This record gives sequence, C-alpha cells and structure tokens, in this order.
Amino acid sequence: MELNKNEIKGILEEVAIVSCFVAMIYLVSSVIMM
Amino acid sequence: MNTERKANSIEIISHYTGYVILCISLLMVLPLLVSILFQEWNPALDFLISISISAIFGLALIMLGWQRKISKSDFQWKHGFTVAALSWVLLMFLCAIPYRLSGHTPSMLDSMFDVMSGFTTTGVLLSQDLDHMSNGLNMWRHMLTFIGGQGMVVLALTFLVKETGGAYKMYVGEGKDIELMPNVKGTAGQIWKISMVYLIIGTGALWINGLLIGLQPISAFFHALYIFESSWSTGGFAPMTQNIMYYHSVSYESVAIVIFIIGSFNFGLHYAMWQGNKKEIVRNIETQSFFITSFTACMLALAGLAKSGIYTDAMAGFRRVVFNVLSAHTTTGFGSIYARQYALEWGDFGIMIMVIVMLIGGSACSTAGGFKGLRVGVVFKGIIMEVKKLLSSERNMKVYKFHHIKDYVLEDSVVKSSAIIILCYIVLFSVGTLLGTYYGYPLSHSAFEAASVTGNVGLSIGITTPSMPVLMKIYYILAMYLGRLEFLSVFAMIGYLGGGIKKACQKTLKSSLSH
Repeated sequence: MELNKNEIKGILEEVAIVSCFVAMIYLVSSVIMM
Repeated sequence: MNTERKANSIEIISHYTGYVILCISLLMVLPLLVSILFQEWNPALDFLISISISAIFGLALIMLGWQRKISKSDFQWKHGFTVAALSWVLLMFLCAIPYRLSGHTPSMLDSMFDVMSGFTTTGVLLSQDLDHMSNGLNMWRHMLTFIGGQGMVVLALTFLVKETGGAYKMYVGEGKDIELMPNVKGTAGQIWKISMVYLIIGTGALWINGLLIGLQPISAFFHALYIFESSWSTGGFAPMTQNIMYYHSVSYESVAIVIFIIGSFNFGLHYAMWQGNKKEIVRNIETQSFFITSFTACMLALAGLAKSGIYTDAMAGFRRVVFNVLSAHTTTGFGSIYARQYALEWGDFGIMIMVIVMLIGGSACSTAGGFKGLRVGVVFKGIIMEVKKLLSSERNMKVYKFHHIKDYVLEDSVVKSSAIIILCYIVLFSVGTLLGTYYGYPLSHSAFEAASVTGNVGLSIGITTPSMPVLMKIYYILAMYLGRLEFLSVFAMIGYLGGGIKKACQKTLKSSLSH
C-alpha cells in the first residue's frame, strides 16, 4: 500500500482542518464558560 | 446434473450471502490467534467452534448456487438488497456465538444485541464485566464494529466475490452508493485503503498517547487499536467499562475527537481530498451541514450547562460537554461522563440537544448513522428553494444546485427522497420513544435511548441494561439494523420474501382446489 504526494497532502489537510475546527470550538467554549 | 441451468432467485441469493458469511467467519481467525498469543485457551476454543459453524454454514449456502449459471442479467436489484439485508441478519446469529460461549452475556438475545450494536457501529452493549474480558473477545468486538463501519458486503466484494454485475447491487444494498472508481471492486478496495491508512496513523497516535499516560507498550497498542477502530467506525465500544474516561487524558480524548470526526465523513470526500481537491471539505453540503449543526449544538449545550452551574471551567466544558455532543453528532457514542449523569445533571435542555444531534448524525456513505448531513442539507436547501420560488418573479426559471463531490441540480425528487428517509427515521425513533414510555421510563430518557439506537450512536442514559424488557431489546436491535441499512434494503427483503411466501401460498391453494 503506497501513498502518493497528493494522498499524503489530502490526509494532512483533513487532519489539520478538523483539528482547527475542534480548537475553534474550544476557544469559543472558553469564552462562554468565562 | 445439468450444470447449464440458470440459477433461480433463491440460489443466487444464497450463493452470494454464503460468500459474505464465509468472509466474515474467516476473520474470526484473527481473534483466535490473539487468544492463542495471550494463552487464553477457553476463548480460543470458543472461536474454533464459532469458525467451524459459520464456515460450514457459509459454504453450504455457496454450494446451493455453485453449479448454476449466474449471468449479469440474472442478478437483479432485489437480489442485491436481499443479500445485503439477509447477510446482516444471519451474521448477527453466527457472530454472537463467541459472545455467548464466553459467558459475558446472560442470553443469546443479549449476545445478538451486542453483535448488531457492533455491526451497525452503534456501541450500546449488554455484555457484562468488560474489564475482565479476554483479549480475543475484545479483539472480536472491535473488529465487528470496524468491519461493520466499512461494510461487510464491501469486505466480501474486495476479497472474495469476483467482479459481476451483481456486485454494485449488493454494495448499494448495504447503504453505500458512492462510486470512487469505475468498478465496484475498485471502489470497495479504495474504501479499505482509506480506512487502513487511517488505522496506521490513528493507532500510532493513540499508542504514543497511551505510552505517555503510563500504559505498558503492549497494552497501549491494543487500547490504541481498539479505540481507533471504534472512533473511525463511529462505533463507541471501548475495552474498559469506563469507556473513554478510563484514560483520564485530555490528549487521548482530543485525538479520539479528530479521528471520529474524520471517520464520520463521506468516503467520497476522503477520496476527493486525496485526489488533490482541497476545497471539497468546505464546499461539500454535508461538511457544511456538519460544521454548522455541530458548532451550534456545542454552543447551546455549553450555554445551557454553564447556566445550571454543572461545569464551571472551559476545560470541564470541553471534556464533558463538547466531547459528548461531538461524539453524539458523529454517532460515535464514546461517553466522557457516566450514563446517569445525563439524567441527573444535564436536564431536559441538554438531553434534547443530544437527541437532535444523535438523529442528525454524520455523513452519507461513511461509517456514521442518523439522517445524514447530506439529507439535512438537501431538505434545508429545498425549503429555501421553495421560499425563493414563492418570492421570485421568475418562478420555476432558476435552477438551484447543491455541491456534493460534484454539482447536482436540486430537483424535487431529490428533496422528496431525502425527506422520506428522514421521515422513516422519525417514525422509528417515535415508536422507540413510545415503547420506552410504555415500560415506565420517563419521556426524555426514552427519547434519548431511542435516538441513540435509531441514529446508531451508542450513548446510553441508563435504560440499556440486561434487565430491560425483552421487547425493547428486540426493538432496539431492529432500530439499529434499519437505521444502519437505511430502510430500503430491509424493506426490499421483506417485500421480496413476503411476495415469495404469497406466491407459494397461492400455488398451494390453487393445487389443492384443483384436486
């Protein structure tokens, strides 16, 4: 099972976007909980 | 024997159902090897018995149509739907054998409940004493949920079934209709490639986390593998009774969140991203729908629970509220609080938020359950389209579109079919809620549990226990099954079997009258 450059980039982008979304929820939740 | 005779419907269905059963029964070799590795001789014997029974049964079914000619035109849609729906029912019995033999479930019905919960990636369970469960059975539980998430028919298509005209019909019958490659075998292979790549990445990340929180290397590996399988498949099973709370780790929970959100995305979306189509994740109607509804639900639940003073700081809010809302929305079912805390602390507002997100669910053609973001998005756009049409001077002239991998015209038929499936889910959920209240459970608790099984989520408010009424266990099995296969396959199987029985009765009646 080999991955080409596009596939590796795709995985990294998916992980990055979802992580940013979770981080954003955390930041907004800290404002709500203040 | 006339080997050239065309196969009849029963032979076609039994032949392909046999392949699916044989494929899954052969997978029991893996937990058998794990049992041998850990010198768990009783579980090893349980798996040996289960493999023998399932493989013999699968081979017998294959042999029924073995020497018959099955051409492309013989395999119709009704066969594909029936093979998919029937395989799930038969496998529920066969895969429950190791559970029952282990003694962790008090009855065969409870074993089948847990198997269906695994297959459908629900995650509610009736098994007792998880903390002392053998490694082999734990491996089997998590494998079931992982295989169920990708699809058992998809697995059989990848490895056993030759390319036939019927392959696509079986594939659609299991609730997956996206075409990643020109042929269905290639599509099935691609689905497994995506899952296996994430398996390596996710298990690695969780393994390192496990080591950092003090787990032994081998134990950390198996915990990582199990939690990945459950997260990716949006299943919700965990190796310990305390579920994700066992790890007491914010980093472990955060990695799990990222995995289960990605796992709840459409395989078509993963494929598009992997092909370099970066913008798909923000343009797709499903991800747009998911990001909006999950963000709104998290904020509402946080605001409601902050007001009641249950959780006082941001970290508690994130770990106890956001984690559970996202787990419910993606239909994963990991719980970072105890079941009774929903009932005692969250109040009606919090419970209702959970019910709504559990019903909405994840993406179509993913491992997730629920209405699916695609249908919610299509119906929402359909409502907007109708309002705009009413207000517009150029009625019926403008073409409305939505984006899901590619641009589609928003036709009335698309909105209608989405609304029908959503309606089916609502009926299933309402009957489940009604049944709960019939047995004396409070309305909000019954609704929570019914939404959890209908949406294949797996969170529990405390109703799902071995002592719950038998009728509720049966209904919950049915709800998980119907919800996962999205009704159509099961309806097609019932219609097909019903039609067959009716024909047979009419034939018997006719012949008895003629005599």
